[in-house]
Amino acid sequence: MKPLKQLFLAVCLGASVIPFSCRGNAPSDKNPGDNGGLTLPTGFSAVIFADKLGQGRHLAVRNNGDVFLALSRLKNGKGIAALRDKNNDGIADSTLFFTDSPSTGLEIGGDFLYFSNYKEVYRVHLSKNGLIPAEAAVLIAGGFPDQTQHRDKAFTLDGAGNLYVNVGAPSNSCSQPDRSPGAPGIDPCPQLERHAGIWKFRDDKPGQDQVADGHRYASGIRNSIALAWNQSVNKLFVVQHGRDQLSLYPEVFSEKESAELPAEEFFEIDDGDFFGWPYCYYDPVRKIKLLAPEYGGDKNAVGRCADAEDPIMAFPAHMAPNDLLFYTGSMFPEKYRNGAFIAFHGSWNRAPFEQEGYYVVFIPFTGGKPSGEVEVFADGFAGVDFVKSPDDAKYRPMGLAQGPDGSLFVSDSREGRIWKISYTGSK
Amino acid sequence: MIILIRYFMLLMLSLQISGNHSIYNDNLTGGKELYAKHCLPCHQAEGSGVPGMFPPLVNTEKVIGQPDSLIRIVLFGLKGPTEVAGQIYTQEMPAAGHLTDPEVAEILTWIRSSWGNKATAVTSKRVAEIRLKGN
Repeated sequence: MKPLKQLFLAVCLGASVIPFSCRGNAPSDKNPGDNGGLTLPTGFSAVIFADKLGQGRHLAVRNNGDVFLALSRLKNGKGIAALRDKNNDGIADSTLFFTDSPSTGLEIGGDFLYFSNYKEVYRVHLSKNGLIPAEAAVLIAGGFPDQTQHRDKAFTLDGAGNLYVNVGAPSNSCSQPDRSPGAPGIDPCPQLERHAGIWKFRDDKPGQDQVADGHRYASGIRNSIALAWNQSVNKLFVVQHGRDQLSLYPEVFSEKESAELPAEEFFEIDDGDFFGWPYCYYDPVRKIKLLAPEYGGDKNAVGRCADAEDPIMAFPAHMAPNDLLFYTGSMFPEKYRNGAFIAFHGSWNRAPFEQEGYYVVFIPFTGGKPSGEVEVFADGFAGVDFVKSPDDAKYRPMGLAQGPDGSLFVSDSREGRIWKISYTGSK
Repeated sequence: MIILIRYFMLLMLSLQISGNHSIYNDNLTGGKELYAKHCLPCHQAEGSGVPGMFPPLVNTEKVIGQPDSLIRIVLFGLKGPTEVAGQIYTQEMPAAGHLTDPEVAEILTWIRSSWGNKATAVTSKRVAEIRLKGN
């Protein structure tokens, strides 16, 4: 078994909130077909829906099957790719580009496509047959801070008239200066006023402003571009990018602890929740929220972190959860219904150790709670056994979307590949 | 059964910890060692950087060109968008002014002659001059 899977097992074992074995599928369980380079559980297959679209981010699928992919770097001067599979063979045969700014967030709401750049969320009406919008986009929420890190204003919709926008932290852990050896944290952290949380807006009211109109729905979340509304329990869930570089405090943390301790946390959110950033991080082995070294943490002190909300599940450090999807289709077997898929873009901050992530996992849910083992659902994106640096990875899983037939679409951030994963086995 | 599975997992965990290895397990000296400690977490073992986050250090004019601006970046940090190999990077690089002049010189000399880079050495005298001049 590869070390990568061993780490996953080890941390899952420590962090599980329920007695599950946290087993990924053994290679012998996998479909031996090509699957566009992916390995998948028995009964699943994948095709390359589209390729070489640029630096892909989130994606969305319309109920007519049209696919939209956000791009973090303009392609042909445009920031969104629109794709259509006209002959219904599972592969896009028509591609158009539109909008003038690079983007990450992208979602369909009714007859509208919602999309965001680094400062604003827009929506644009989609005509019945057009692949790209004919009308002008309308600003729905803006006035967000532009920032030099965690810039993406990713968002989700609840289907009941509300929009939830992630505003990431503009730093690692609110220290002054940022990411410098031994630097102390600013206390209280002023960045929490406009950053590191989720802001709620109406989804149909033009020109809303973060400060004047937005409601801070949750705070103390470092960055969560993986966010989704779970329709089965009517709640918002997000997966946080946990803090980096505990190794900047070498008198407290070893390189190995820096690589493995600060978990990626899966949050279930109620209005007003505070999850602890920048004062706290979550130790997935001891299953406890601990004080960050910028705020006097020594690997054991809890302090004010006793008041921060705990995750419903914790994942190994630095794996970069970049999208979350609750499966509502009927194509996949019953165990997938209402369960969570998470795309782990893959780590950089485990150097000098082997990097982790670079796969899509699945977690079954019952009644809105995780109810079974975590499995690595789609693997093989990196195309190499050993990722020393992110640049070694040929593809990196980035966005997730569900097709109208219940298939699962996965986008890649390196080359702009999109896979369409279907269940073709017996149920 | 669950207990058995857990026992198996614990075994795997202990194997994993004892079997984990650092990319650099040889004895490091000078610039390479200093790079591993101060630069590698972001710029990575082979100087490849991290796509979209931290720029690569391989075969780019900012690294292998005249060294003064490179010295300035290390001593005083870098703010604002910077373009490397056609990609824009926005994340701030923290200043590493806590490093001594010889340490900065050793790191930069090593970076400028690694991974296919072939540029002149950086002297600690030049680092001292630029430090004195300020940013």
